[in-house]
Order: sequence, then C-alpha cells, then structure tokens
Amino acid sequence: MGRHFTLNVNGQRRAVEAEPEEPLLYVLRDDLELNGPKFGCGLAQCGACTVIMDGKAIRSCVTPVAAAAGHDVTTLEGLGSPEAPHPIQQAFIDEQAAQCGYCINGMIMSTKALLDRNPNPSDREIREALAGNLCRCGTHIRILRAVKRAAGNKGEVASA
Amino acid sequence: MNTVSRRQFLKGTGALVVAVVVEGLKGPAAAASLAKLSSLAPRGIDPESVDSWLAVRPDNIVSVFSGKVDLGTGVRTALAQIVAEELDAPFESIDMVMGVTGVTPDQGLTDASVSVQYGAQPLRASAAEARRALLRFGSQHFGLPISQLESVDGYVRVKADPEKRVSYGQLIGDKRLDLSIKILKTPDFLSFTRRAKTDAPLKKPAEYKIVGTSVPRVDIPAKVTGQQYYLHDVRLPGMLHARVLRPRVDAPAKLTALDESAVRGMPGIVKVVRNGSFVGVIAEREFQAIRAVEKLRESAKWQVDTLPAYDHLYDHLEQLPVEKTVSSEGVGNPSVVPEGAVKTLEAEYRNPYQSHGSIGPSCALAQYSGDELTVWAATQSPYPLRAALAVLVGIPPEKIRVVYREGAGCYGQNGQDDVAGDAALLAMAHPGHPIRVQWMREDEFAAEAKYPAMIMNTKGALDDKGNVVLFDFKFRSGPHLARRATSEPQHDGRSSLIAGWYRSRPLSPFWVYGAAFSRTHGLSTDLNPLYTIPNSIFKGVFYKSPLRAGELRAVGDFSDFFAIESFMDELSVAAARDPVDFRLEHLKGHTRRLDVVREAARLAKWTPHVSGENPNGHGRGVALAYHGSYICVIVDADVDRDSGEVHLKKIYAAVDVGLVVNPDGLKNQIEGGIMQAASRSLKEQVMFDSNGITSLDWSTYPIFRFPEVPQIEVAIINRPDLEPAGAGELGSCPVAGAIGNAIYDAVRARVRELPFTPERVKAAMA
Repeated sequence: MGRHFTLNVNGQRRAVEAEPEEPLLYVLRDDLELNGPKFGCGLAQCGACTVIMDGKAIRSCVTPVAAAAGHDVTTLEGLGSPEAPHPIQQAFIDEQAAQCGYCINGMIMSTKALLDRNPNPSDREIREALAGNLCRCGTHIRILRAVKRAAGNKGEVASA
Repeated sequence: MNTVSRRQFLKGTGALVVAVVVEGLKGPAAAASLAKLSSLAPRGIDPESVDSWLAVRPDNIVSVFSGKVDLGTGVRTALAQIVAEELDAPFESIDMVMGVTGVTPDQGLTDASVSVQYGAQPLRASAAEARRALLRFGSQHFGLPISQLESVDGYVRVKADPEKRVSYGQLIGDKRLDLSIKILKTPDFLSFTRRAKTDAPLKKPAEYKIVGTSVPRVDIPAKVTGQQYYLHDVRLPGMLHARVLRPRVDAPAKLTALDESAVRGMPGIVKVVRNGSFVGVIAEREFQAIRAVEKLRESAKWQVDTLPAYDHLYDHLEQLPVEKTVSSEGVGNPSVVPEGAVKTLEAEYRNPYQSHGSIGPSCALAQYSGDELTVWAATQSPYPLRAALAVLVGIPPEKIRVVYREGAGCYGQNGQDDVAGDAALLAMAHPGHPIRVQWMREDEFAAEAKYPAMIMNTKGALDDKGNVVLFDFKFRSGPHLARRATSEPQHDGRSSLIAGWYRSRPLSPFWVYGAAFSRTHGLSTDLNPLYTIPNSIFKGVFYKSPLRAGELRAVGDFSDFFAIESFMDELSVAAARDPVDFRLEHLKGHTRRLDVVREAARLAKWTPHVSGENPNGHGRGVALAYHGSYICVIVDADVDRDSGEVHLKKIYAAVDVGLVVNPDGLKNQIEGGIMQAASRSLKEQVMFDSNGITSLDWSTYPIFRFPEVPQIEVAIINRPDLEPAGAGELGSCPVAGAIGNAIYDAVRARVRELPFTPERVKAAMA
C-alpha cells in the first residue's frame, strides 16, 4: 500500500515500496537487507543508524524514505568489505576499536563524513564530530585513535 | 542428545550448523538449516565426553562447542586461542560454535567474569585429550613411537623428517574420539561453568605460542564492514515483525482497557495478540507494527502498583523490611571500638538505580512449527532461558531450541531474555512464521532489570600510629540477580520473563537476594576485606526492591568499593597520611595487591601528599578493588568551583588477572569497564514517578559523550604461573571510589552519593 521510491544506495539504484514517512533505516535494513545502519533509539540521540546522504552524516532513524529518494546514500557496507576494507574500516581493525561493535557503524560513518570535509581534524574536532554517537562499552579512546589513524596521523589523542 | 546423532548431524550438515551460528540465515538455505535444527531432539549432552566439546572435521577445521557465549567481550577469540594452543592447531582452524541448546553443552550463565578461568577448562581439557590421542593415531599411522612425533599446526609429523606429516582431519575424520574428561563437582553458584580436569599433559606457559599474544579479535572485521552478524541482522523466509505494548514499568500490570478496533484497517497488520494482559502486534513491516502499537497505546489502560517518591527513595529503602541478611565471619572483635583507638569515623554512601544502557535495544526471533519452538536470542544463558520459555509457553524443553546470536553489549540482565519471551508468546500465537520482536528504546529503559539502589554504612577507627584498627561495613541493597541459573523448568509460580507476568494465568517476578558483594555472587560470605585490619566485619541486608533489580556489570562491587575506597581515603585524611602509602601499609604481605597499587602509582607518577591538602581544583584519587582479579586505578580530575562540574582528565589502571590470554583483549575490556563506570559515577540515575519509569531515552538517562571522556592508560602485571582470572567486570569496581577521592583532593569536599552531579559537588563544597 506504500508508494514507490528509487534510492541510490552504495552506487546502485534500488526500487522500494514504502509509506513516505517510513524511516529510511527500516527500508535499508528490511527491504534492501543492509546490515550497517542499526536501530539504537529511533530518536536521533545515539547515532547507531548513521548513513551518509549527499556527503553528510544523517540519522536514518528519523529521515523519511521520501526525503532520501533520488539522493546518494552510502552505508557501512558500501565503504568496504572484510576482503577490501576502506581505510577507515582498516584503521578500526588495526586499533581493535570495538567491543560489542553495535555503535561502530555510526562511528565509522560519522568519521567518513568528518574526514571528507576536514582531513586533518584536531582531537577536539574529532570529539565534537562524534558527540552524537554513543558508545556504552566504553571504547571511546580506541575509537579516537582509529579516527586519528585513518586521518593518517598516529599521534596521541589528547584528553578532553 | 547423544553424541552419535550429533556427529551424524555434523557429518551431513556441519557447514549449516556453522552457518546458523556464525554467518546468519538467508534465503532457501535458511529454511533447510532451520528444518535440520528442528528435527534434532536435544537430549543431554555428556559434558564428560570430549566429543561434546570439540570435533575435528576431515578438512582440518576444528569445531568447538562452547556453552559460554561471546557478549562482545572477545571471549570467542580468547577461547579459540586456548583450544588452538592446547591442540597444536592453527588459530584460524578453530570454529567456535557458541550457545545452541542441543548442540553445545550447558555451561549455565556467561557471567561473573569466569568464562576464561572456568568456562575454558573443559575446552582446554578436551583439546589436551584430543592432542594426546592424535599423537597415538599418528604413531599407528607412521609405525613410529610417539617420542619421534610432534603435533604442529594441525598435523602430526615426524620430528626427524617434517615433510612426513598427516593432518588431524585425516587421522580422525568423522570418527568419535571416545575420550573423557573429568567434570569437577564444585559446590558453589558457579558450578554450572563445568570446571574440568584431565590427566592428559597440559602445556606450560613457557611453551605458549598463541595464548599470551594479542591475536586480533575474529569478529571485528565483520562488524566494521556491516556483515550479517548480529541477532538484529537475522532475516528468515516468511519473517514478520512485531512490537509489544506494555506500560512504562518494570513490574506486572493488569490491562483494564484496550481498543483493538483502532488498528483494524491499518496496512500490513497480520494479528493483534492478546494473552491476558500481554499485547503484541504482528505486521508485515516494522514501521506498521510500530505505528499500530502507538495507536493501541492511546486507548490502553493498566492497573499498576504505585512507585515510591523519587525524591525520598533512600528514606523509603531504609524503612523496608529486611528480607535476607548476609555477613562475613568477621575478624577480631568488630562490635566494639578497640582500646587504643584515638579517632573514629562514620560515613554513609549511596547510589541510585542505574541502567544497563545497551546501545542496541533487545531483539529476538521465534518460530513455532506447531510442534517445536526455535528462538534466536542474545542470551547469556541458553539452557536456563530454554527452561524459562518452557514454563512460559507450556511445552517441554526438549521441544524448544535456543540459538545464541550476539546482540549489543548487555553488561548483564538487560532485556535479552524478556524479549525472547515476548517472541515466543507471539510465535505460539501465530505458528509457521518467524516472528521478529524488536524492543523500542523506551521498552528497554522501562522494563530491564536495573542495578539496585544501595546504601552503605561504614565505621572505622584509627590508632595513634594512624593505622586502621576497626572497619565495619554494611550494605542495604536490592537483589542483584533476577534470573535462574538452573536448566530445569521450575514450576514455582514465578518467571524471570516479563511475558510471564503479563500472560493469562500470570506468574510473579523472579529474583534472588544475593550478589551484592563479590564475584561469587555473595551467596557465600566471601566478604573478607582486602586490607589487614585487626577488627572488621562485612555484612548486608536485602530489601524487596520497588523497581526490578538484577545483574549489572560487577554487581554490588561497584557500590561496595565506592564506599570502602572512599572511606579508606577519609581514614587516610584523618590520619594525615598519603592515600597510596596508607593503603600499602595495610596490605603488607599481599604481594598481588601491593604490586597493583605500586604499579598504578608508578604509571601515574604519584607524588605523596595528604588528600585535599591543596584544594586548587586539581585532584588525584586512588582506589583498589578485587573481582577475582586485582585492580588499582588513579583518577586525575579537575573540579570547577563555580559549577561543581567534574572533568575527568585521565585514569590510570594497573591490573593483575593472573595469566593473560590476550593482552590487547584484556586492555580493551579494562578500558571499557573503567569508562562505563566513570559514566555511571558522574551521570547516571534511573528516574521514576509514581506511575512508572521516566528515564526512557538518552535525554532522560544521559551517559558519557565523546567531549567528556577521559584518557585511559592500562598497565598489565602478567602472572603466567597463576590461573587466568576474570577481566570483564574488574574495571567497573574501583572507579567511583577513585573519582570521589579525586574530587576530595581537588576541592576538599566529600561527596558520598552517586552520581557526582555538579549540584552534589557544589553542595559538598558549601
């Protein structure tokens, strides 16, 4: 009973049928069977659902699918695979920057958006860029190191 | 299930078993493997049979069947290291199958930080037995005595001519090993871990090549690239989506009004399920289920018990009757102030209810075939969950299969099992389809079993040399355990599953008064202080908690060490002594405790001083704790005198867990525990009003965000001559005390109530 939309996801045109106000998150996960963006709160408070749309990190849990139609959307799996990881993904592997890993989609996608606009962020800028991404396992310090590593700078991460 | 039929299953569908538990199910293969799982009738798996724990396949992959599960802590990797080491098989050849009833042995709950110390024992013993047998088979194969052979990287080869080798897979193929290990009878709460021994030779630490190295975690590549890994990612043919409707409480309630007709005609609604006061909506699409439940909530009315006033919580808890008392034996004569005491102090410490705060709200799938129920759950206890589900839905446990899939970090009893109960009830009401239940953020915060509010009272006395001569500690706590460890269905009118409290013929909530102190869950009285004090007593009482209370990481130790370590600092101030020296003075002869304190002090470049002697807004606090292993942390904090805000700059930690299996994995867990405990100490409290829980999202239950997190540095003291002891909860124990001590040092103000909000710090400064 929904409407037809065409999404550009990870470089592919995908046709979906959904209510216009249906959050993009559910369309990506259920209709397109993508695993990257995760349900964390549905309230844009935690960042677990982050995808990149037109170069900006957005919260797919509060973005209606209608608003994403016709736009370029990139999800975590669109960045790279275990066989060919994106440099940011590789940095997270190298720093072992995950415990349960449930928040990591949001961390990596927010990092991608950050480094695309600011390739050499300061520690303060990284902390602020990730302020909307929650981690409950307490992996923050490794995540900060992974972002610095991905930025090509393996320097120490300063305290807040 | 007897071993032969399980091996036949493996022979025919071994790859599918792996697919079920590691990769996820999708498409036609999913239906086939689901049918295979459903056709197995699980009977008891003999934990004394090596074949129950591992199987070498013809392709030289070693399937390991673990009753312990990986909750995102890296245990999968650590256990694989232990087996690979003992078996002399390549690490990459180890395939961990975890937490599938009828396939993996029952090892109870994955909790108490004992997965490596205890849970690995039967795996290691089985690997040692298998290696010994493989050398024997190799001897027969080559016609050479064992002394001329060696086991290396999955092969038995001739020492003098290493090109002559035969793989384990060729030697065993699909044959049973028919070997035994001895499961130890341990009369404690953790007997379900199945500690074991063998007379097969075990490797010594000096021989280790894999254990003791920082093997990268096997799950991280899949997680950072969005592979289908989590329970939340499982997609099955014919799957439907469901949401549940309950009031925002963590207690039973009676549904008194509901207008189901309001959702009639909404698109995609398959069924509204009502079972007593339990209400769920099954729909084709997630968003349809969400909107339908929102619609039903408009008309729904429940009868719920009133909660106490949030502002008078502690007064309320103080006057609740005592349900259970525990006590250490005591040392000396703690009921009187000793002669020679020149100063006495008393203090009361408090902490509120706190939440697990899992980033991913709980999720589960269930499918009922009409005869058998399969449930996918992120459960710490597959077999006890199976028993609870059997009681909930009224079918025998042999007809239920629980398949573990990793959820978000749970840190104890979040909604992991409750959502499985919801899924089971819905699946029974709509057989033939997998039903996926995803809790909403508010569902998780409202209903989960919370960390109970506690009140700790301490009394101490110092002699004229500044030594502690009396330490009297008492806690008042809610239960720290709200689920069973037994795998036999219990028909006692209680359920650990919320669905059980809401269904028709409702069951009442299950909990256990215990676990408020120490790793052994405080059900024994292992309450001895870390310090040598001539007169001491540790005791506690439990109250019936007005909010649902259960296990959160480190259980009561989070609060107990907050009180103990804060009070040790208060005593050190009264004695005008440096807090590190003060502790060292009372740890004489306890090498491991002395070493972690000294190492933390060295790492932090501690300079001796009396706490609070220079209240310039910058402070350091130290705290020592134990949770099967030892930890000392030192916190550097700034306190803003105007606002009362506490800014954590850095936390140093020294840990001693005995033998270290994976140094980086250990550091990861310690850093995480410290960070989580710091967030709990500064920010966290579950709020409620008379109608229910009001901390329902991240704005009403804020946790640390990146701008406020401290730097953390961890030093490890490796003791390979000791058993590897727990790390998962260790970091949670000393942090609140160390932060409180740092605050005192910074502004000479003692805050004794968590969280250390700016208002509380300012009030203490006044």
